[in-house]
Amino acid sequence: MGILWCILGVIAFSGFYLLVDYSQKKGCEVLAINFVVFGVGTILALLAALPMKTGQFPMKLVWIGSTIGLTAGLGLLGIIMAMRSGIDVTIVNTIASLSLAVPILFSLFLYGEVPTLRKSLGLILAVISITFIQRGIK
Amino acid sequence: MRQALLWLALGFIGNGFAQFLQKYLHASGLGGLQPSALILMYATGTLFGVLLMVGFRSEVTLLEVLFGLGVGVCSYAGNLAVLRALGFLPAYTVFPAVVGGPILTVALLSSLFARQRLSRNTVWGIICGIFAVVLLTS
Repeated sequence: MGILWCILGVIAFSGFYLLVDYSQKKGCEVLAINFVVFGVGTILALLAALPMKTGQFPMKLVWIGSTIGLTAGLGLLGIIMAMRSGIDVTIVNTIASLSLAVPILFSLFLYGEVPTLRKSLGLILAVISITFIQRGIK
Repeated sequence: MRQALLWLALGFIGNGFAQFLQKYLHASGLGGLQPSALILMYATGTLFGVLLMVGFRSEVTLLEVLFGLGVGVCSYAGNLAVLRALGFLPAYTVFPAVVGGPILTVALLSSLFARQRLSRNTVWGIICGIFAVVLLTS
């Protein structure tokens, strides 16, 4: 069952990047797409969370959840604009996936969580990957 | 191309911060309220989208609604699939599959159907990126 959910995840995220790329080739407005994507997400998240109670929204959660939304919104804007600027969907997808290095680095500095040897190698490879891609674009 | 790289950097940092804040959500003991966090996240993203649209006097056409619907459903389905998969499989299996899988899928589909040619540097960057994602998530 877990593998089936993983396959669904791969299909969904691949569809996400391919549809964003195709929408930009069709000349869709970046801000409009950004707005509709988050609007659809809100409706689906609301439907999935029913029935709701007021106790499910403590103030700290409101702050953290809202900041996640703001940063994710900026992230999506960056992704769409990068594709609109002519960067290949494969490159944008790779860079967006490598962003998981950010929480590892922040955890190191804020929580003192030292990454394992594997994760350290992954971080080094991430830097090499970004350098190669940057050279490839130039 | 410099501006395109700046957008790509915004996508990287925005997504990275969103992932770090998701970790912070768990570290704050609010991990059990994930459905509420998803509502707040998407609702803030929608509000951010509305503000950008009003600020730039942008409009939504039917084509953008259709693409936005597709991208929004893919985004939500992907996140849901990851959460469900984590209930059956360990994180070191789920994340390499769900984060690394779309890189390969999108690269294959783009080269097969869109005939997009990538430079040698970019190909090396993507290969390093796939290995980096596997190492970072395992």
